[in-house]
Amino acid sequence: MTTTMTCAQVDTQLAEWLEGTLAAPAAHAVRVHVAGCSRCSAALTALDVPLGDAAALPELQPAHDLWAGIEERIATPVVALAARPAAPLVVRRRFGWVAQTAAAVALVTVSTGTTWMYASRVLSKTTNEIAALSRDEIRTQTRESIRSTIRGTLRGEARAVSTEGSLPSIEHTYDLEVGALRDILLQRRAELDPATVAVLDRNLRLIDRAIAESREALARNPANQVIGDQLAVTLDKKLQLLRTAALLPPRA
Amino acid sequence: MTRLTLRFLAAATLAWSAAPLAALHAQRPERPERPERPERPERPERNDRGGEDVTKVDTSFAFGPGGTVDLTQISGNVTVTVSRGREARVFATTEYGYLRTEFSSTRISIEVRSRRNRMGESEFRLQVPAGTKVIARSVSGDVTVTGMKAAVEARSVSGSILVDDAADRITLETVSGDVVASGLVGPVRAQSVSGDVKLLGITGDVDAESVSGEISLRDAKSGNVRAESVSGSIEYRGTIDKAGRYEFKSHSGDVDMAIPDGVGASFTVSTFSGTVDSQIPMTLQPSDEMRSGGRRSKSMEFSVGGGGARVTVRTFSGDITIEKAGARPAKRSKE
Repeated sequence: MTTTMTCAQVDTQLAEWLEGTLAAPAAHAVRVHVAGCSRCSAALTALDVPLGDAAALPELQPAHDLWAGIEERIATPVVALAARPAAPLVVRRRFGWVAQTAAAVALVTVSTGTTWMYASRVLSKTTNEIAALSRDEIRTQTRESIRSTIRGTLRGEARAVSTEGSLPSIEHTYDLEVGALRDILLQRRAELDPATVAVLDRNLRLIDRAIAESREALARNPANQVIGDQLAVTLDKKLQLLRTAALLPPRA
Repeated sequence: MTRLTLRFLAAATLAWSAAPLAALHAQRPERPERPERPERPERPERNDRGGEDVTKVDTSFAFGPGGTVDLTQISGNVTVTVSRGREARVFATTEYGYLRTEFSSTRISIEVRSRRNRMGESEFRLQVPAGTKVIARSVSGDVTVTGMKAAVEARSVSGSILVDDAADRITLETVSGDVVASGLVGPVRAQSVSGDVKLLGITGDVDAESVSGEISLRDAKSGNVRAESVSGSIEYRGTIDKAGRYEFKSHSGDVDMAIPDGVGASFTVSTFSGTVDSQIPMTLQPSDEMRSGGRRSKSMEFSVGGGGARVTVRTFSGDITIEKAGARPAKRSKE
């Protein structure tokens, strides 16, 4: 028997449906609802999700092909990463707070360079392993992945400063991502509460100052792990804040 | 869109038929006037979720524990408290917008939406049985959830988050407001940008973040704790599980932690330009001490009670204080 689903019920089950982890009757009910509901189908279209059973999608090989696609879209250099074992592609997306932020969600998801790090981390797991992870766990793993990469780069940067004087590409990628997110924030300024924008600006300046202090200290002490680790945390904090800002709901 | 089209067609049909009807009416002999009927209350429209679109709700109905409340507010407060028995009492109002509602015995959903780009102030006040999962969001209002003993997901942008007595998965996020919560059981994620994060009485893992706000974790019984800020201070007072992992990191904020007696833990305490004061004897690792621009960075590792838990405390320029729980705070002396 198939039960009729409401939009709200679909919202709560959408992530599992996209992952293919939803039980067959529920998945069918979601599919039926989406097919007949302009709101849900429009939202899925905005998120660039094919209207079908995600579980039925063919398995994709992530490897570096995925990064190449992302690279093309954000016009950034390839980050040298070790090859990952092939694993099934799992799309984990989250239904936005309001439909108006769907575009921002998609933009953030697609345009950010660290998506690759997120993807490579997640894609190295099996479907069952991912299903067992909570969103917070994935967020934590993503954060650790990003920080680990930044830390490694900072160590490389510290060594390179005296020899080549050039920044590794991850630094460039980070700057591009920050720039893209800043652009989103710039575009959204008018729809956000001015007081909120002021808070965001003030805290971004605070983070920038912290980053500058850490960089200056790191330049004097290239091997100091304390500074390197702290800088990685602060860089990540900036990224998080910009992402939060990009996805904030508009004021009334 | 379909509804609008239907409305337009109905209005056009009425307008088209109005003139002939008026002419016909004029030809008929006059009837005695009927007494005026009392005006019917506006019938709420059915929405595509099977619920109703109204401007005010004031109702109560049977609602079992284990249900879900999902509230989306824009400008106004959200308050959810415990009801007596298996009943839900719902009061919701909006000034210029409309409320999209969905009520059943297991789910309450209220979302405020604008009407002709106007919304005004709104208010949601609900009483539901303990054990109800609450998802509540507001852009510029406070979110208050008390006594649920169940999962709570509360978010705001400029409002504060106030939660008491929650369990299971607890997510509390705001941008410029404070997060103040107590009596929490379960993994807790609490985050603010400029507001303070103050959690009292926590059992379970804690993940707390702020940029410029303070983070205060008191009376915590947690095996895994992570607290990070940029300029806000961090305070931790709670148990240290022998198998646990504890991380406190700030750029320029001070970190202050109190350690109970009999704890088994290995500490890594690092600061670049801040000071470290400890009531627990610790050994400076000479290899990690480096001179930098006339300042010394300090990294220390020490174990108490034979080790066990991993405790990491790190700042760039903030001061670090480690004291014994119940003891008087260590006197800080800048190095």
